[in-house]
Amino acid sequence: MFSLNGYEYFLVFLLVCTLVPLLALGISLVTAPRREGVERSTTYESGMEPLGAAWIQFNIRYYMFALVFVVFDVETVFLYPWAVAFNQLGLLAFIEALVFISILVVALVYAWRKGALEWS
Amino acid sequence: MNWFRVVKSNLSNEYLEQYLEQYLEHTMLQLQYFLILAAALFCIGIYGLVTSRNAIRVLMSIELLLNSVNLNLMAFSNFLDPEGIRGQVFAVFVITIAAAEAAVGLAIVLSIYRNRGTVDMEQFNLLKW
Amino acid sequence: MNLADGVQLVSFIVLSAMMLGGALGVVLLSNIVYSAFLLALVFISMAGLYILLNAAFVAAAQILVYVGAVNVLILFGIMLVNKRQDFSKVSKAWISQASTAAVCLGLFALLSTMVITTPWAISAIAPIGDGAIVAIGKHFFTDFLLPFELVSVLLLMAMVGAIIIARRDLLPNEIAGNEQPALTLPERPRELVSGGQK
Repeated sequence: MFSLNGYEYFLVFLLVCTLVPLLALGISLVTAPRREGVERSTTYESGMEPLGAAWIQFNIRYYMFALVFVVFDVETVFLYPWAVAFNQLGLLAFIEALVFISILVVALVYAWRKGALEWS
Repeated sequence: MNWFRVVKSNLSNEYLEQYLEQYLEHTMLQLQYFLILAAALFCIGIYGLVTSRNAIRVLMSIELLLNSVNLNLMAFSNFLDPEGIRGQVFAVFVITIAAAEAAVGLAIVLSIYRNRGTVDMEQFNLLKW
Repeated sequence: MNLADGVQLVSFIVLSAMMLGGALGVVLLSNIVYSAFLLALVFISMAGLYILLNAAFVAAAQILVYVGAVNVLILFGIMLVNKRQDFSKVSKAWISQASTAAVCLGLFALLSTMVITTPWAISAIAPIGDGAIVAIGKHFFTDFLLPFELVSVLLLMAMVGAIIIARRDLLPNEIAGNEQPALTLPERPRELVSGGQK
């Protein structure tokens, strides 16, 4: 039994969204001239001469940023239902949410102190 | 499928009516469909978990396993407990734990890669008896 | 009910095909970057299935956490360790693969039989649908309060642990200098140290 509202528009939107890139790529695949050559297989770097391979090793800092992002992304998932149900939950829930947030602030402070948020 | 209901109400043939009733029954989404789908995903995940050589692919297989468990929980929540929706609450917790697991698991893989220079599971044999 | 039964069934079939194909790709493809992108496909089709199960909030959480964060984390992990290397051949690898496949197929057959034969107590109540978010919020602050608070502790521990494990240069120098050679593990020299301790 399906009881959510408004998802027929979502479905139409999704179909159009999948059709647009398929059409764009398909039309260019059909109509574009095909000439093979050395230039064709090089990495596209906005018109510059490509430097090195596209398959490089990333820096560990990217991982650190992604890690901090994961933690606060999950925090968002937990705080959103609290925000929606805020009026029905009352003061005690507010304090509990503050405890939740303050523990995660400790995590943020830790990451900050250890330099996980610095790029340099 | 309302079309079928209109046709059905105008029919007098009992056999055909029964047949259409069964047809309508099977076009509805059933709990079993979701459970079998989750079982298939779980088995694919287990296969990947056991046979993968790359440590990161092992982590991805674990994500597949957790997802299949989530699908089970959501199916039960919708079909067996549609008011309490405890399954959805559980699924949110499982998603959280999967995120934490992915973060720590990848950190361990990075650490092993730095020490051993490879992510091949067959090379991680330091604790092997 | 706004989506007709047939539409739901067709969406279910399309989403299941996408999900199973993506999962097989994750497990079987040799290029792990393709595997990671197919994993995103699996997560997205899973979110679609959640919508078919009247769980819009969990579908959104799935997209937000899995596709937005976990998959990106996995891609960064792949980019950090990628070295085009061919794993050394293990002799008779096909035996383990074939036996694992047999066991998995057996498990699938067992689970399917169980699912089909069990008389499920299907509830006749209409699902609460759009009210699910408020219900989840109430659950978080009433009967799931302790898990809710423990989640923050878990996230704190995961973040601290991952930062400590992933950053080699957090080892204090004096400990690293005094280690006895007899007790060290046969490791490679630590030349791949990431950007130093500030």
